[in-house]
Amino acid sequence: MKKYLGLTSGIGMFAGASIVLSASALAGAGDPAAVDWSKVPTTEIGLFWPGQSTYDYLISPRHKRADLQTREGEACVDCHKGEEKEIGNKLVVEGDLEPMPVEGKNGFINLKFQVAYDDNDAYFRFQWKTLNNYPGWAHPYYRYDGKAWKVYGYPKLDAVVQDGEQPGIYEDRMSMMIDDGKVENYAKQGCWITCHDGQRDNPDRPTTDEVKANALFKYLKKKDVRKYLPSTRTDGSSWDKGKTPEEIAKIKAAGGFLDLMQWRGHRSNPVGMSDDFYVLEYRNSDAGKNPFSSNFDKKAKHPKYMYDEKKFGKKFVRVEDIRKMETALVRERNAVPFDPNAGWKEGDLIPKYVISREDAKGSAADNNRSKGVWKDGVWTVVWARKLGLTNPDDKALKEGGVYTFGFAAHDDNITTRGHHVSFPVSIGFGAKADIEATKLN
Amino acid sequence: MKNFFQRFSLQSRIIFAIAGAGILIIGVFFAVAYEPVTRNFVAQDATCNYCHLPWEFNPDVRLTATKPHQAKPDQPQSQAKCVDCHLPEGRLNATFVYTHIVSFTDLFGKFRDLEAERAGDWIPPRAATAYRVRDRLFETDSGTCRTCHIEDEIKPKRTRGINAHKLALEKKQTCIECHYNEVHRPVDQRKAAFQRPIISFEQPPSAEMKLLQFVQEVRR
Repeated sequence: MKKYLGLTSGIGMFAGASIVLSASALAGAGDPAAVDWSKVPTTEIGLFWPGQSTYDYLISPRHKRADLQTREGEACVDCHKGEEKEIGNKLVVEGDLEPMPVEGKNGFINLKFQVAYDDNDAYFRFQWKTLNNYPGWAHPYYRYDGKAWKVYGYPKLDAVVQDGEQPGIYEDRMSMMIDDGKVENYAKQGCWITCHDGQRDNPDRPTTDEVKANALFKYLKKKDVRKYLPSTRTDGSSWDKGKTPEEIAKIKAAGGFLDLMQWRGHRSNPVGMSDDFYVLEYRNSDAGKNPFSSNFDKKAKHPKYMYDEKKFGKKFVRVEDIRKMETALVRERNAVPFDPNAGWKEGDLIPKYVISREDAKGSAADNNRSKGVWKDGVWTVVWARKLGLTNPDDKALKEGGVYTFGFAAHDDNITTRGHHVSFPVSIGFGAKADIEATKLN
Repeated sequence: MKNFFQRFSLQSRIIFAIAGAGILIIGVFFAVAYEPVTRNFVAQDATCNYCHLPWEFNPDVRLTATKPHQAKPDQPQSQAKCVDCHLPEGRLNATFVYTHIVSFTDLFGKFRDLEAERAGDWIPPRAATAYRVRDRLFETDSGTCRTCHIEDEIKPKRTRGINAHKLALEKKQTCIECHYNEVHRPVDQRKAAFQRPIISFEQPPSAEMKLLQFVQEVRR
């Protein structure tokens, strides 16, 4: 126990600094934590494990008795309303739609959701119980093995974790996907229209070489397949049937994309932010810079930054630390340039990503007022987003508007499709909808 | 009348009587026994399978020796016959068995999907057959399904089934629009399947449309 005392004081300093910074960053008008949430109605939203129920599956005869209806734009809830728990519990175990079951995984999460707004901002509050008795604030690290720095920890759907070669380590997340009515079928079929065969952890995944050889992906300079909209494909579905960049640009200019924002337990929460992406032909980052970036120097083959011993208490963490403390490496708070001659020992860990609120820029840094606190097994995340954003890669929330939202929680060290998702719900800001946001005075 | 018969010889009268009795017997047979005999003795599964070989069926799904499409609620092992689904009730429909057996209908290109071919597509014969049968069921409001499955008596156990049936009734959909890959080897549905005429309420419906609506209502 004594072993951790010094570290604990470091943790205390770090956590204290974190709270002070977050409080100063969020305090005042527009602070989501300052909203009196007791006066905002709570809606319970069922989040369930979707397995590999991609859009391609849904429009295939395997989606029995409903594939044609799905093609024609029938809403998921027309048949599956109230079935979230049943579906999640069925799909989370090994079966046709789950070839890589995660041991002990729950099929369902009950999300408590609140939404409010004032003249300037929309405010969101999320509460959900985590599977583990610790918060998901750890993320893969670089581990020194005595000779080199190698990635340590992977998401639980990865074969190296399922085979026991690596531990399951990944941050918790809460995601929102938003449309303003310009994406066909999103209001009815939600995020499923963005989920396809060929994507990471989904069926029929192409090789890296196949992706690189594809005209669209060559243009995008991407080597894997991520979320995309059917409207960006010539056949309305396949990953490799991309439309031309000019055609895709026209879709974007007409607003035919989805906003996708993620609060991240490791890569954004420590700096009081969430990221900001959009889904069109790929899951693209908004213009500017998100709060996290790689912490690896490819030429030198070691991390770019390490912990500042004076501020953090030590230069590294060990595996026994990562579930007990926030280990985020924040450039302006607890990081210094990496010193390869600092006497590294086998098992020393340094985060794979470096985080910075100061470096976040442009449209990608719009979500700069969000904060999550984990207590007694429950994450409580509050989040503010400015109304009336004018960036070409954002969906502008406005009073009087109705928007379709999809929610997802990544829980228990997992990524990609390993999330619990909601059916689409409409939210009205001063307008009739499934959930009506509370106007704050 | 008496004078009328006296004009014919006894031999002629006997021939008339036999002919009349024959016509009467055939008439009675046609009226009473033609359809059940055709359905139960002529169009047996063995007759159908003489051409429609067993490899047309998916061994993993129903209507096979392993997973029969249950024909009677109280008899789990009872199996629906081909004609239960493919031959609608009625004497005229029963006649289709004979024209089909001698491939009379195929002379007019039923083995091919002429519509698709004219559009430049090539449709595998197996798929063309499935499309034709599905179209027929769609046109007849899934009549053969409804001889066993009575709408009011269908009580799905799962939420999705309850919701889906409620939705189908609201949208006036028919059985085959959802239950189309239930029995035979799966065949993907074509994109333009189950198209209903677009009815505009901006303008009064045409006489043809009124008739179509009337027929659809009567069928339901």
